[in-house]
Amino acid sequence: MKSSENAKKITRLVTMGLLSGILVLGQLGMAFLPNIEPVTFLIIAYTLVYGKQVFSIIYAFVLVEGLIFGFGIWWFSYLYIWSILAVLTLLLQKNTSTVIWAVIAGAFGLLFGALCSIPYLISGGPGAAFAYWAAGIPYDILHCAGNFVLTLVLFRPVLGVLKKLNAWQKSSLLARSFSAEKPE
Amino acid sequence: MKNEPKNRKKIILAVAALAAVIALLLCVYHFTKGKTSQGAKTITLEVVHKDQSSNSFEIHTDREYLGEALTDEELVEGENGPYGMFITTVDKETADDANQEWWCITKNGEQVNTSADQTPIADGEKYELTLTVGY
Repeated sequence: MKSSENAKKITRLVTMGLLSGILVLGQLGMAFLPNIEPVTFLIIAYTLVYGKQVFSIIYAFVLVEGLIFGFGIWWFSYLYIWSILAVLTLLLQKNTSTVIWAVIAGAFGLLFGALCSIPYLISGGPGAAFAYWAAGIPYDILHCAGNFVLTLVLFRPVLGVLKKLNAWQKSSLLARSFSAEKPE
Repeated sequence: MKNEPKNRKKIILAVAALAAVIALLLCVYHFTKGKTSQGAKTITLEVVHKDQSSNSFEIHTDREYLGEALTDEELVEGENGPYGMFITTVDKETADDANQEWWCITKNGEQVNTSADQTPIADGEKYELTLTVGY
C-alpha cells in the first residue's frame, strides 16, 4: 500500500516537473518571436487534464523563469497572470469546442498587457500603468493572434497526448497497487 | 445533433466579440499614442554612465521615434523585446543583467513610460539615458 502511494507521489512529482520544463522550453524556443508563445494553450491543456495540480506546474515555471531572466517587475505579474488563466479554464472546463478555447486563449493574449500593468499601477501610479498598457496594445493584438492560431492548430493533438499520458500513468499505478496487494 | 446550430452560434458570437474587442483596442491605441513630428529635428541626448560620468550628444534626425534616431547614430544597441528594442548598450557601455543593470530613459529628467521605439521625438527635446542598478 505504502509503496504504491509513494509511486503515485513520485509519478506526480516527475510529471509536474516534466510539464513545467516543457513550458520553459516552449517559451524559450519561441522567444525570438515577439509575444508568440505556447505557454497559454499548454496551461489550458494542462488544466483540463490535471485540474488543480496545474498550479504546481505554473509556479515551478514562474520560478524557473525568474532564475533565467531575473526577478524584475515583470516577474511579479507572472505570479498571478498564469493562475488567472488556470482558474478561468477550470470555470469553463465543460467547453469542448477548440474554436472557443482558441478565442479564450486569444482573449487572454489581449488582456495580457493590462494584467502586466498592475505592478506599474502600484510602482508608478495610474498614468504609468495606462501608458504602459496603451503603448503595448499592438503587441497584445499580436499575442492574441498567436494564441488563437497556436490553440486552433495544436490544442487537440496536445490534449490527446496529455490525456493518454494521464490515463497510462493511472492504469500503471493501479496495476502496481493490485500486484502489491496480491497475497503470496 | 440539435446542439450543433446552438454551438455554431456560440462560436460565431465568440469570434465576433474577440474581433470587436480588437477593434476597440486599436481605437484606444490610435487616440492615445503620442503624435509624431515629421521633418528634420534636433534633439539632445545625455548619457549617464555607471561611474556617473556623462556625455552629451546633439542628434540631427528626421526620424519620428527615439529608438530609430539613436540607432542611426550608432549610439545604442539592443534586443528585440515585446515592446520594440530593449536597449542594452549605450555609448559603448553594456548593462550587466546579472547585476540588475538597465538603461533608464527619461525626458527632461522625467520618467518616460514607453520604450525607445515607441517614444515620439520633436525638435528641441532633451532625453537622458542613465545606467541604473536594481529593478
